[in-house]
Amino acid sequence: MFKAAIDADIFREAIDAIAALVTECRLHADQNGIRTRAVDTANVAMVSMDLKKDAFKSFSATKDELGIDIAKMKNILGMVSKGDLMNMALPEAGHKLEMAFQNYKYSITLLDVNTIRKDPNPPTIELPGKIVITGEALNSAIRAASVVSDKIALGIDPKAQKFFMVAEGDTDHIRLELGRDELVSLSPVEARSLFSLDYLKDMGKVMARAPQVEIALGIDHPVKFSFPIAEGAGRVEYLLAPRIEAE
Amino acid sequence: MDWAEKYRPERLQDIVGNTAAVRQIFEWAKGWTRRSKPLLLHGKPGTGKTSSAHALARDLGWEILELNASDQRTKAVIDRVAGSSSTTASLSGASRKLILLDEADNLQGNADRGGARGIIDTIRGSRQPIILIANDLYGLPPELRSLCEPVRFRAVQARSLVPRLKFICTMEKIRCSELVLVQVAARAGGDVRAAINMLHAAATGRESLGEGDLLSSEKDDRPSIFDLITSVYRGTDDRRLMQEYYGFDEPPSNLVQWIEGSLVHLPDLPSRMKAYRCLSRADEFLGLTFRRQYFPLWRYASALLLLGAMDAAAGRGIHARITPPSRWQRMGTARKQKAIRTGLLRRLSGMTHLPEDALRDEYLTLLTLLVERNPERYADLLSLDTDELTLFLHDRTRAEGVAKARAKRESALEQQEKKGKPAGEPKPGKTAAGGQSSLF
Repeated sequence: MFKAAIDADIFREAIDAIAALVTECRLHADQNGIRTRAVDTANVAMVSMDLKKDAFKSFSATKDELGIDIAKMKNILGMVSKGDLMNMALPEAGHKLEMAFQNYKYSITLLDVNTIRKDPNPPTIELPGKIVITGEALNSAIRAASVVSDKIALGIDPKAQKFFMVAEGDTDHIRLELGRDELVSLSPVEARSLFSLDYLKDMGKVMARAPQVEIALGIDHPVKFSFPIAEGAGRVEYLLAPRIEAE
Repeated sequence: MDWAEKYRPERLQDIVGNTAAVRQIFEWAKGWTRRSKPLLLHGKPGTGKTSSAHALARDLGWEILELNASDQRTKAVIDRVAGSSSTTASLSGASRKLILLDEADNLQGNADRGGARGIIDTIRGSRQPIILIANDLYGLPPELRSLCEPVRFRAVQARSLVPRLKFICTMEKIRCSELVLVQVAARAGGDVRAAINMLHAAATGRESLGEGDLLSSEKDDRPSIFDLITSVYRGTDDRRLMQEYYGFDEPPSNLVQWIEGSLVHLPDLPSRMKAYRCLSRADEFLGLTFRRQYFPLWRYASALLLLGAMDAAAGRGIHARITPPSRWQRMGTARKQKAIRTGLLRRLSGMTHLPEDALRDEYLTLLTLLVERNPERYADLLSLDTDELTLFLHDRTRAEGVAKARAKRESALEQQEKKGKPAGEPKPGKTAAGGQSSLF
């Protein structure tokens, strides 16, 4: 059983965060809220989304697993206007999720969870380099880099106490350095890894809305971005595998 | 749950048979560098190809990314999934990521457009180990095949299969005599999955397996037309032979061609005559079936065909390669020739304002003589291409030469035209009137 009412904008934010990587996912609901974790088809990036009970206007659920067609959900949420209240209900052992807003009443058939990839295990990796930056600054940097290349190196220069991003194209080059003044915080540990901008661009669009994004980096290790949604009542985490640099 | 899936080997050491292949895979993985070629595991279904790849990843603690026939595999999808995955490190912190392209010989036309190209590009740019899997080595494009190191998986021998079957019976608490297991293993024809499925089917709802319980689960091997013809020549029980024929989907009208095509392999004239007598009688029944649209008559035709030919062959066997009836090939060629001739006649009829059949019946000989005397001139006048010239000259090489020279002249003419004359003027030689007046 699942029954909830939520500001449609908040729900859209949560769905958009997932939609950046996958088209379907298993959504786990229990009495504390909803959460999901999914990996994209190429096993390159992972998204975890956690939306607590407090983010909802009203919320009651028993332990359940919902197979969500994220692409469809995103289209439906494209129909809502600002300030709409979204009412959702799934009866016990039901397969159709009722979604109501304004005067619309959608009845959405859920996917069979067995057809969706199993939840990945949470990776246990140490990422010592930590930076906190505004989402907007991060997204602009990603967009700036994508002009010249399809990959970007993110790193920390501990001596200069700077967070740097370098993108090298076939003929062009861009380097952006941000010192302590332009960042919210920085831990001066050496780090540098290369990432695919294809993925970062999609994540960047979502992160642009976040007031603060926490970045965790290592040396040739994945990068972790985590940021709050729903005014702190939820959290999204992205993990992106590094590119292996050419010899 | 499906036993074949439930008892899928998890470690390389659990793979039944193919020890050399498994060792080769392991060595490859151990010594893998970015310069290593990808492996191409090939062999019949159920010999352990996919299981080996998964077991390898598990043994070495590698992450695995699989793309198989249930995924759409266009070039775009392969680039996005396999391409980006093979240039990134593992997300979970595994040392390597194995890209597994299963059923690589099974790229389906439109749904997988450009798939082979995508696989080749992925291999070239990969920084992770790749394994391709195919049933048929030669089902892959040669340029892809040459990029890979092939590993052959052979049919698994029945005796190496028996211990595995015994293990499964123990796990499932089914009492089973060794003899039955040997039978299952033998019937599976080297296909481990088939053997396990057979065992599962026979054991469902039972606690013990005796010999009699196996009858219902023979591996469904579709007989091929080649098997049938071999049986005809080798000789067998009448009823058996007819049964074998009913097992497949070939009308007697096709069968008569196959058998007729193979009769040249009968050693002596009397037996050939005997066979042809039966064949012609069978053909009468085929005609009757067609005229009356009364299909039960087919059975007389097929019986006469098969049993008559078998009687004539008298169990001597066939000692040559069985090939599809050459008549079909000849008909194919003839149809192509006919199409060329019809096209030519239609065109000439337009040019000369003569009916097509008049041209064919009265003028074709004349035309042939004219073309033979001066092929260059008439090729120009009638704008004949290589195929049409061959029709007149009966000499393909000569026709090709003429057509080539003509194409050259024409392009030279076009060049000249471009330089000399303003556009919009009709080209000389292309107008029907010019060709027509000087024809006869």
